[in-house]
Amino acid sequence: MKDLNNYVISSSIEENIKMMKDIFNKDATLRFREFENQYNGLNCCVFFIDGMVDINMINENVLKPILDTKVILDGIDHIDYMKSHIIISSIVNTSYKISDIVSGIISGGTILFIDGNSKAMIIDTKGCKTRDIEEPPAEKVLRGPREGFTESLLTNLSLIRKRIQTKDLKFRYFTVGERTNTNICICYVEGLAKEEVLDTVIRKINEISTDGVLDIKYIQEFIDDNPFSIFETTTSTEKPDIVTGRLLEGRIAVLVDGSPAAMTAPSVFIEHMMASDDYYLNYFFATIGRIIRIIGFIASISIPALYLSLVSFHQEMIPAPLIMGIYSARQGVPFPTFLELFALLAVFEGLREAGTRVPSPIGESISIVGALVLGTAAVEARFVSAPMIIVVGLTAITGLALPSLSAVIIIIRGFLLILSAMLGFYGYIFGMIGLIIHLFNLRSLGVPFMDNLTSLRPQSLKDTMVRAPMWYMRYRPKFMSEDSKRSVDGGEKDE
Amino acid sequence: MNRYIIFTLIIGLCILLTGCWNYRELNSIYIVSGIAIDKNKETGLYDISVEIVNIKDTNFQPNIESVVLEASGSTISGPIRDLIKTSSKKLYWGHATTLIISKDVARDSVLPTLDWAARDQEPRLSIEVFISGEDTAKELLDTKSLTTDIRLFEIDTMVSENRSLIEMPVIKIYELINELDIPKTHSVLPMIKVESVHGNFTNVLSGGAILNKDKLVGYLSDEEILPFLFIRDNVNAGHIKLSDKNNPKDNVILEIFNSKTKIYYNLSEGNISFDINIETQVSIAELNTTTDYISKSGRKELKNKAEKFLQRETKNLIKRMQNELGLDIFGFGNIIRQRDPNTWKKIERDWDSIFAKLDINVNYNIHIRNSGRISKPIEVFK
Repeated sequence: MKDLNNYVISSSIEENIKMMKDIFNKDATLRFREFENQYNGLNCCVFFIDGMVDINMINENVLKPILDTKVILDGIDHIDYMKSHIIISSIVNTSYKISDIVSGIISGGTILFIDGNSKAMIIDTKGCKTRDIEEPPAEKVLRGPREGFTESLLTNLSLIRKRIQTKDLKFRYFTVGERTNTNICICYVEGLAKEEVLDTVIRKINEISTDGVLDIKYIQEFIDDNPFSIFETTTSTEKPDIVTGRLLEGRIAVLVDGSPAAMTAPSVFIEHMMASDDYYLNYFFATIGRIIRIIGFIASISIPALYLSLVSFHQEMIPAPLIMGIYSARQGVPFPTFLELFALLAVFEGLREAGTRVPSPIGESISIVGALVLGTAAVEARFVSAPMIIVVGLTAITGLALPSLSAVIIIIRGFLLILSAMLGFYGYIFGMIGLIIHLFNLRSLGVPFMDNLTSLRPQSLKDTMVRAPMWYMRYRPKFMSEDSKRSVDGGEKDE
Repeated sequence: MNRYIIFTLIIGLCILLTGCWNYRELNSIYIVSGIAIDKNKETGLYDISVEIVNIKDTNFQPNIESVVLEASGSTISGPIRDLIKTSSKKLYWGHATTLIISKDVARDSVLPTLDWAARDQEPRLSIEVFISGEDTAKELLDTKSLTTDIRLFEIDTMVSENRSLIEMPVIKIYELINELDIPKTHSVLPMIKVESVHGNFTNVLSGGAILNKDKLVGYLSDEEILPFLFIRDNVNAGHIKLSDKNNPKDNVILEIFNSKTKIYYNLSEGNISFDINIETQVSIAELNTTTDYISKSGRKELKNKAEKFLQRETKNLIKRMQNELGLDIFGFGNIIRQRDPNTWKKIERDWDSIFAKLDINVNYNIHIRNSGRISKPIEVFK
């Protein structure tokens, strides 16, 4: 690695070209062009990195004005005159420092050297190709905004700014990653976000010491309060409207250049049960959706464990006609229920994993093979009993209702299943107690993860299992924001 | 550190010191539907018949058949345990619904049977207890079930689905155990008989068996059941059949909607008497008569007739109990015990003789609510 301190910008263009070639040794994307103004004989040279810049912008706004100028530059500081009179660009810096020049060029700037000047001009000509704004496939909605973040940080920030048009919306840049030098941006609404939470986030981001940051998940893992928990205490989304909603509740968002997802924190458990649709559809319908998701979560972690407990420990709890049905279906199945259940769940997870990794047309055939062929054949061949297919199917379907918790669900489900295999309902209850204790122990940037769920005040519960109508949500979540009234001038008195 | 040790101890103790939690695969057990207990007249041993549900290996469609296993021994639990020798799998009692005791066993005592059922972990205390109306209890298991494959499950369905229509309410093990403990009150168990329906033999509930403490001593006939239930305030539904001996064409059936019995206990000058007031709502279920019971005066007549009929039946039952058996099956003694414990302490020892001379007034008040969907009898042209 070359030490940049060994280099100095010289006033000779030839020297500078040699120096730049030396710094960017073996980098084929470095381009430069030397040119001379025909009227005043000024020798200039521009450097840029191919692909990072908008060539048209350089041609029109840098080369053309310099080549066309008829001003005789004599006895004045060329650089400063050109900066203020000739170069057409909103962001232009000058510097003597070689490190500024290098970081400018690698982030998509154009460097202009002028013969006889030991100062270089850094012109912003960023012109990277980015993806169009599309609906994120993982967060499709029935109704409501369909815009999704892209990989470009600036585009993403503009998507947020477009929605919150106030000077109080703050964007603060940080650079993380010793090699990638990734731009990350913390955004929050001043006056809503809690100072201490903001300070914690900034402190934790400054503490990050890593080679590179490629996605928001890197940051999420670095700033998580509970690094060993299976639950994530920060949430991420690809939709600017969700981020906006959370910013307005006093949360803080972090965006990373190159990642189409934004992190929001602090987060509470019930957020995982929410979908953006909830706020765009009728609130009765949204409430039903919430309740279904909550039941889905509980069912998905519990069904295998409960079935196993019932069938192999507590046969007295199954109604007599049903137990006879299960009994007859299990006739001739060689494996114990536990093994049967575990294997089938593993097969399902395998199918799911295969389905997500392969291109979608093949993914469909995998599900057909898995569901129809494997399931039916396994039952007919007496490898598994028919009720087991129902149990695993129910488990799978209910689990799909909560995409953000899918990994967590698999782990808890397995954990409860093993406990139930050892102790029946007793083990299941132990597992659930453990899970609840763990959930109540979690903190997200100092905010209890299960907050709002222990209160009985209607204003605390308005956005949990029920989604209250908008006119009822007069207050922001209390734990989250400084000023808890939703409208600026206060609305009604505090309850 | 201390905290973790305590936490581990708590969890460990919770797991290790609680009841049994053995992993038991569903197919390693036989589901028992019920049990019949007989006494062998020659050997004097208990003959135990256990009905199990045998589920055969079929694809998708449950194929269930009833299998009766038999064993005998001098105790109840001994032969039951011996059954494992004849069956390949362990018997599972969690779904047993029915316990049938033969008259011979009940004459000795129902206690050994109840002791086993209450002490063993698996049988539920909600098992229904019956006395066999036939010579042996086993006969009831041998009949062919009409509607379901399992004989004893059919009995259970019969009594639980039609609970309100059944004339004799079933009694569960825990209820019987509780009743046995009430001083000077004697239990009545439902009896079950075999009846022929279209050539198939099936079981029907019929009459009651009166226990003196824990021993069978007498029976209630079918006609005595209704007045008995009226006094016990246990009538939810049922029919009152009114017939006139002098006029065989005069038959009326009243359907009971609900009934409320209030028993008043009076003590005056050392004389104990009871007033039983019974309020019953009925409707006309069948009117097979030439008499007009629909007009205002006719309704009154019908009401009087029904009240008189029930009063007579009830008084007859009470008299029979007072004179023949001398057993307080109605719980009058218990009413005194609850309402006037001081008097009860004094008279408890002599209760049997007091009961025999007890002055009991029975008043029925029957409200005829309606006459069903039609008001008049169907008219035929002259």
